[in-house]
Amino acid sequence: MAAVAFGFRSGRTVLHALDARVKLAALVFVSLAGLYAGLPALGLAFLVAFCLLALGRCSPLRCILGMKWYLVLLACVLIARTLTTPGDLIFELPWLPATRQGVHAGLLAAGRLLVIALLGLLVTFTTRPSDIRAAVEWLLRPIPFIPHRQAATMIGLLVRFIPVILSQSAEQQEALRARSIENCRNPLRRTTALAMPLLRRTCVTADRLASAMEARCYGAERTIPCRPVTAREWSALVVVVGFCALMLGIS
Amino acid sequence: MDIIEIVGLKHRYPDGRTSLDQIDLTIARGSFVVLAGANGAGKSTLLKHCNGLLTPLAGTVRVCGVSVMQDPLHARRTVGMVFQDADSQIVGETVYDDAAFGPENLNWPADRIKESALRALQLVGLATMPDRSPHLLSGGEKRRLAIAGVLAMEPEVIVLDEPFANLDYDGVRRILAQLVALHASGKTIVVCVHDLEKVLAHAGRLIIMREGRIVADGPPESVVLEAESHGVRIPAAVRLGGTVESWLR
Repeated sequence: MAAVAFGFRSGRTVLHALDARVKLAALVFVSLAGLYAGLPALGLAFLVAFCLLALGRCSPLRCILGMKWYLVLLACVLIARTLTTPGDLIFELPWLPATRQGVHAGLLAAGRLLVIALLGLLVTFTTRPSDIRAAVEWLLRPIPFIPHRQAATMIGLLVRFIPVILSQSAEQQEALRARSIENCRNPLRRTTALAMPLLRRTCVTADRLASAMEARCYGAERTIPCRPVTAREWSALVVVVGFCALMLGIS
Repeated sequence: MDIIEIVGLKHRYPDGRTSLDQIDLTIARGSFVVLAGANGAGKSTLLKHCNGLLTPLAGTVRVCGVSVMQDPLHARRTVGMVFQDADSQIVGETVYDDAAFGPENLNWPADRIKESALRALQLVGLATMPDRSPHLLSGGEKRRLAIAGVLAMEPEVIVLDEPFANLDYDGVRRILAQLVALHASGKTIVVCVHDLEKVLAHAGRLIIMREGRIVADGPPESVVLEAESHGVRIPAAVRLGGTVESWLR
């Protein structure tokens, strides 16, 4: 999922042109509406998310394939809710306590998570990371006691350095395999051999990064690349609010 | 006209070892200086003082006449530093974001940031991939992006710590061509290397460091002969009695 989720692709679609703040707000609104929505509304949201992915030039099929492990997790949620929710038994088998209410609750939980994940993918796919960072900074600004600039920079750095740390981890694993780590039966020793150098390397990278940021005048006063909100953004927000009302209405 | 003036600079590592000892150095505006020395000679530490990243134990560093201690931001705006490890210098999530990071920190207006970042990317030949993730760039492209990140801040001096490390022939030539072009455009260039072969032909001054001290300083043709006695390999052409040829020919 990482390759899809963290991959911004430039494009000239309406979704690419839309301000990141509106997209993040839409994600929050639909997620909140999803908490109170029933299955028909979630089904509608799922269809809309699919259409929007296609509109943003992101293949829905590719997204689903990229999310295969996430789908396995959702299947586990569905099964767990089916077997643990009390209600009317579907099968007359004592070792399979699946209930109709359980299936319903499981589908609701999995459906909500799926819709949120698809819309989240849509946002990351169609929005430049710097715009997301600026939007987070803008949205956090009114909240007291939260250092919005630092929070936004942390999010940006996290997105930037996840692939670097993963790549360092892969290199470390290859180096260990080259020195026959497979022959070591002790899982603790194997884990330590991977984790300790990786941790050390990550700390060194963090140190160098701090120096590099300092050298480039990083400080509290920065220009935020935020655009003014136009009629297009307001219109999109109205459509989103209307859609959320529809979701709640048909639930 | 000197742009960097260093007087009596001393510095120690946190473990107490002396890294720089009584450095007196001036760098003229518009010059191309090569700072050479073996590993641990103190080259990188000296460059970090020019950028205000380290605090001297004694002595002063002045950039354009302004003390780095008193105004480190001025030093960082004037002296752009390209680190050896490009991977940990690149902070942006995309190529454009990284080029724009410095100008954003300088609190420039959005239009100027965009113009400056795009011009810097154009200069280093990365203008065609502004949305590419830096993680997916080749080693040479990452190094060029690190240079673009500094160029976007429009510094007068560019100091580069081992800019040719881990690059193939083509990568070295591209970076070298970049440095020569920047020097021709009036920038002051300070390149820190341990291998003189690639860059010496373009330098107007060679400084050799050893154990935290400057042990030789002058025109490359007169200083290069004593390089080997300080742990720096003499270029093959000089060893054979000739002159160093540019890698750009």
